[in-house]
Amino acid sequence: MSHEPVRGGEPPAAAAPGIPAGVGTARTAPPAFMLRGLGKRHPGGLLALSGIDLDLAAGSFTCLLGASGCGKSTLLRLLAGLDEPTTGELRRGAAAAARPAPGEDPGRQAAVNPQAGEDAARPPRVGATSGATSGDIGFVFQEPTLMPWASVRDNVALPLRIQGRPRAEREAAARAQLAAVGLAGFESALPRELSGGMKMRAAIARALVTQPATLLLDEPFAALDEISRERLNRDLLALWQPRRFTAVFVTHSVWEAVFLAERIVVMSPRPGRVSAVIEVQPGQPRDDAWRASADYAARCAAVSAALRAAGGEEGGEKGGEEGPAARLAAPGDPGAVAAGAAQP
Amino acid sequence: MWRRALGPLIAVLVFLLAWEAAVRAFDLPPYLLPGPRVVAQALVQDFPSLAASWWVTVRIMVSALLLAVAGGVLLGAWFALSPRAERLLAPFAVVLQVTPVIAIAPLILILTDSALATMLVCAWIVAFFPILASTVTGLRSADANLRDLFRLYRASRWQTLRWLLAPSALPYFLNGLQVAGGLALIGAVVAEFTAGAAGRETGLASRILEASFRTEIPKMFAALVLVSATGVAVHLLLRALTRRLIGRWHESQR
Repeated sequence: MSHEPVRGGEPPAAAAPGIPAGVGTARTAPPAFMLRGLGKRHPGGLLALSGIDLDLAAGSFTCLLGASGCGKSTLLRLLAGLDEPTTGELRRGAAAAARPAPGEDPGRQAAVNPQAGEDAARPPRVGATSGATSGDIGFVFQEPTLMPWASVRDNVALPLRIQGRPRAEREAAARAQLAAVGLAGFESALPRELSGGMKMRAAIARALVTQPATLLLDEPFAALDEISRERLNRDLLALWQPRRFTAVFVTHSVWEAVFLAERIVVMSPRPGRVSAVIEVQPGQPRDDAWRASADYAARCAAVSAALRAAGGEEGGEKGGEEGPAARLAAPGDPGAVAAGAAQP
Repeated sequence: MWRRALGPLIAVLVFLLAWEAAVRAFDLPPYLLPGPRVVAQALVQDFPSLAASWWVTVRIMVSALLLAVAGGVLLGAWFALSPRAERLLAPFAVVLQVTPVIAIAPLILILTDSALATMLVCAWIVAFFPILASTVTGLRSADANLRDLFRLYRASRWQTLRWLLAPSALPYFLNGLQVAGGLALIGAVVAEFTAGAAGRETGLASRILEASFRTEIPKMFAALVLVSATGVAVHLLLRALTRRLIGRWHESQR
């Protein structure tokens, strides 16, 4: 069932409906997250997410792309364990890589079709999650979310302090991370003395200080000016490439998603669903030259089209639940929404 | 610092000079309105008795404030951690706050049978509520994302309280403390007016009452000056404390 990502050289615009790779694409890397039929209903009764089937390979860079209200942030909070799903199953780390336990029926999960009324068909294990301990996951919020009373160093060292690490180790680690994000020399500054972009860098340093296997980012650069944003995107990739943490980046910017991601998960709103999964060449060097190229522009156009099909923009939500996803799951394109593909 | 204090000092000086000038120009007798010079003379003359009374009032005020801080912070922390406790007990706190303290003072005097205890309880009641309210608000004001961050790293309740909730609450608490400091002094003085000057140790309110009975108006003014000066000192002290604790980072201190 493995579905090779489209290689460079093909005209990407023409490949728009063909690019979507399998949701459960079997990769060489073990999955860091395994989501099956994941749904989240907010306490108020609003269904934020429904029938999310997704495997995120360890060390991959994924962007969750969609209009506001499509549940991308909710999904990220579920991945982080900050919220619990109301339906379906979410496994992290080793639990995601492991084969299903004997009691569970892999066949039932493999047969999942997001178009069917999946909430009812789900196994009744409500909001199951597994995996993740303190420091396994780093999280970067929309706002820098630094403690205003603490120095930049103390902010970055906070996760280690919570873990009870000795002071010398905390400070050395904080210093190293600050240097890695380009904030060397700002250790003793207070957050309010930093610019918006620098605060965001400090937030990234804090998220990385525990050397997490996963970094989750919730529209981290949305409030920044274009130049800072491009610079931070480049620097984020430079941090990711040698360390290869599993990165999940929520954004509503097509340009940002195409530049950053190996894989773009396009989501449709009300309730939030996966509407398309688009691979962007993994081997592509992501630099300014590529950003200026026709290839990049064509990919952006293709992703924009998928986003429009998802009903995210300009009220394009015509087909309701059946519409956009069904169109992308055309015959002969088995990977598009085959949720169970990764199952052995 | 001193340059900033210069303006208000000059304003006060001008006011005193104008007061003295008005008293002389209209030839007002000291038993109606004494000038600042006469008040100062009374202050020096009656200093031994005034200072002893001042010390009583100050001790009551400081004790009441400390007790209010202890009670307000403890109860506030409990309320912040347990909304149910707040639902059950908040009505009592509100009743305590909205009932005029001067109306409860006679009752407390009967119960405690001590003027000093009455002063202490009344000052405590009025100082307690602002501290309670500000602590509850403060502890709940911690940034939601920072709370999530502490949860993400599996911080214990104690860690969250110490490193997140308490620092977030500090600006609110200090604001409440400023209000409570002024109220504690008012409570101590007002309660003494009702409780009366029983016993050997009496506060500044007793001096004011005494002077008014004897129509020693300059002495009355001297006692008033001491009350106001104490209030101003408490205000400045608490403001300095606020500056010291949150001056570097909090928006209100910019």
